[in-house]
Amino acid sequence: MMTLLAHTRRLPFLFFVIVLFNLTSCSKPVTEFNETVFTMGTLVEVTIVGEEDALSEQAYAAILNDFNYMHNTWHPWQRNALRRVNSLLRTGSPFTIAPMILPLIKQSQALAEQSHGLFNPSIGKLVQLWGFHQDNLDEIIDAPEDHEIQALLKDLPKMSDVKFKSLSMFGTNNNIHLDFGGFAKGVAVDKTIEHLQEFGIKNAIINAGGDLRAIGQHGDRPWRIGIRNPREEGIFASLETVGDESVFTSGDYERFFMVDDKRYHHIIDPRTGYPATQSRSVTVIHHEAAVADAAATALFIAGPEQWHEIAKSMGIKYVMLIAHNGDVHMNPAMAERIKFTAQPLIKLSKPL
Amino acid sequence: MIWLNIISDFKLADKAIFIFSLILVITSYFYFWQTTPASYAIIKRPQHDALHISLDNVKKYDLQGAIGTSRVEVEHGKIRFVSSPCQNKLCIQHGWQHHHGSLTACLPNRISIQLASVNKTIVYDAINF
Amino acid sequence: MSQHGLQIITNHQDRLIAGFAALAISIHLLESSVPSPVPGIKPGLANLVTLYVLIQHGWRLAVNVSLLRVLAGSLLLGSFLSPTFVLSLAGAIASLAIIGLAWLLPQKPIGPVGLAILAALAHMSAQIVTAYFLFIPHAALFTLLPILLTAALISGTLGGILVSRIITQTNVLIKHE
Repeated sequence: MMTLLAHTRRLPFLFFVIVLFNLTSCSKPVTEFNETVFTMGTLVEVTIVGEEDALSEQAYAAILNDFNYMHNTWHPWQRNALRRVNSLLRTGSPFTIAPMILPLIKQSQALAEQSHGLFNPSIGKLVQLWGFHQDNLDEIIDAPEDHEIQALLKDLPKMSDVKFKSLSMFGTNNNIHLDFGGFAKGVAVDKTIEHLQEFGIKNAIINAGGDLRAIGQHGDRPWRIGIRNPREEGIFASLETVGDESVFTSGDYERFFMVDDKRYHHIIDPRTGYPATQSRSVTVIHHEAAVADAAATALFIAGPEQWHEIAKSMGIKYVMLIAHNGDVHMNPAMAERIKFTAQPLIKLSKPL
Repeated sequence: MIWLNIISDFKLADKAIFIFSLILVITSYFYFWQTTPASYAIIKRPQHDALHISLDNVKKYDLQGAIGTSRVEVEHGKIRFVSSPCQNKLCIQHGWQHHHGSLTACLPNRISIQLASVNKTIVYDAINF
Repeated sequence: MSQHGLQIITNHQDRLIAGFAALAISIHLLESSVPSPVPGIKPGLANLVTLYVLIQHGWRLAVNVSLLRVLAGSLLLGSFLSPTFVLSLAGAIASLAIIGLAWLLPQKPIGPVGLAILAALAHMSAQIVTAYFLFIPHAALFTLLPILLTAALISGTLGGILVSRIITQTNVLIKHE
C-alpha cells in the first residue's frame, strides 16, 4: 500500500493528463472570425469562417481601410471628390472625369433607368431640404414647407442629367446633387467582399447595419439569416443563402424623425417630393449588394401596387414587401425560401 | 470485491435523501415532458381573420369579441387571459398556457386561443433588418 | 532565508486551500469541455472537492476552496463575469448553503453520499433558476429540467460514493502514518 507521499507524486502527471485532455477536446467545430466595427456611419459586422486567424485578421484590416476610404470619398456632404464633382456638375461646364466617382455614376444611371426613375441619387437637394443629409437627425424640428418641395420638384434632376463626352463629364441640371446614400453601402459591401475573395477567403458575411452579402456557407450548412420585424423585437422570418447572395432591406424605421406623431423617413419618392408612404419595409435577395440596395429603395417607393413591375424591370428574383397596412407581399420564389416564425397571411404575386 | 458493497456508503439519512430525490426527478419528467413548448398563438375572433402572434416577446393585446374586449398577455413563451367581459371568468382562471396544442377560450366573448409551434430555436449567423 | 521585496507568509491552512482549489479548478476545467444542452450549466463535479474539504477540514476551508474554484476557473477559461461565471457562482453558493446547513445538524446524520446528492441538486436547481431569470426567460428551458436533474442525481450519487471511499482510504492512511 502506497504512502500518502507516494500518492502526491502521481498528482502532477494526473494534472497534466487532465489539462491535455481539456486542450484536445471540444473546440468549436468550425473556426469563426467575427468582428464588429463602427464605420460607413453604421455598425459593420464581418464574419469569416474556416480560415486561419492570421489570414482573417489580415483580410479584416484590409477591408477596414477600404471602408474608411469609401466612406470619406463618397460621403455626399464632406469636403471630398464627390463634393467637387457636384459643384462642377451644377456649372454645366465639362470637366475631367473623376475616376473614384465614375463607377458609382455609371451603375446608378443603369439602375435609375431600370427602376423607372424611382431610384434617383441625383435628388440630393431634396434630401437636404428634408434634413436627412445630416448624420444627426435630432436637430430636425419640422418638415419642410410644401412650396419649397414643389419648387425643387419643378425641375427635379435625373441621373440622365449627368452626361459624358470623351474624357469629360458635365451636368444638364443646375440642381443636381449626387447623394449615393441609398447605394454606397451596397457598393462598399460588394467591394469588400471582392477584396476578401482576393485573399482566398471563400466563406464570409459582411453585414453593414443589417444589410449583408454572404458568400459560401457556415461549415457544412448554409448561412442562416434572421429577418427582424420592423416594428417589434424578435426575428419574424429567416432564410438561408445559397452560393453568393446579398440580402437588403429598406424600411421606414431606419432614418426618420417625428413631428407631432407623424413619422417622416428618409426614402423620398422623387415623384412627390415626400417620403414614400405605401410600404413599411422591402427585403430583396440578389447577387450584387449594390443592385440589392438600389432595388430595396426603389421597390419601397414603388409600393404594393407597382413593385412587381419594377422588380421585373430590375431583374430582381426575390422580393418581400410589407405594405403600410401590414400586408405581406412576395413572389412565389421568395415564398419558397423564406421561413416565418408565425406564418402570416401572404399576398402571393405572379412569378418574377 | 469492495466496490460491490456500495450500500455500506449510505447512512440511513443518505438512503432517505436518495429515494426522495429519485422520486422528485421522476416526477419532473411527468410534469415538464407533456408536450413541446409553443412558439406562437392562433387567435380567433368573430368577424376577423385568424390572428397569428409570436410568443417570443412581452406584449398585451386587446381583442374585440362578441360581448366586449378581452385583454390577453404574452410573455416569453406563454399567454393568458388577463381580463374579459364574461361573467364566470373561467378563461382567466385557466391561467398561463405554454404547451403546443393548448387551447383556451372565452366562450361568451367567442375568442379562442390555440397554441402552436414551429421547430426549435435556430441560431442565426446574421440579422437582416 | 531573507529576500528583497514582498514576502508572503503562508500557513498550513493556506496551503491546504491552494492545493484543494487547484484540484477543484482542474475538475472545473475538465467539466467545461463536456458539452451541455444549456450553455453554461454544468453537472458540478468540482463540488465533490468542496464536499471532501468540508468533511475533512471544516466549513471555512470549504467556502474558500469553492469560491476560489469559481473565480480562478472562470479566469482560466476566459469566462470571468460572463453568463457561465454567473451560473457557476450561483451553483456554488447554493450547494455551499445546502451542505453547510446539512452539516450543522446535530450528530451529522447525513453522510457524504447524501450531502453530495443535495449539493448536486442544489447546484443544478440554482443554475436553472438563474438561467431562467437572467438569460433564457423562455418556457422551453424547463423542458430540459428533468434531464439536467437526472444528471445531477447520478453525478451526485456516484460522486458521493467516491468521496466516501476517498475519505475512508485517506483516514486509513493517516492512521498508519
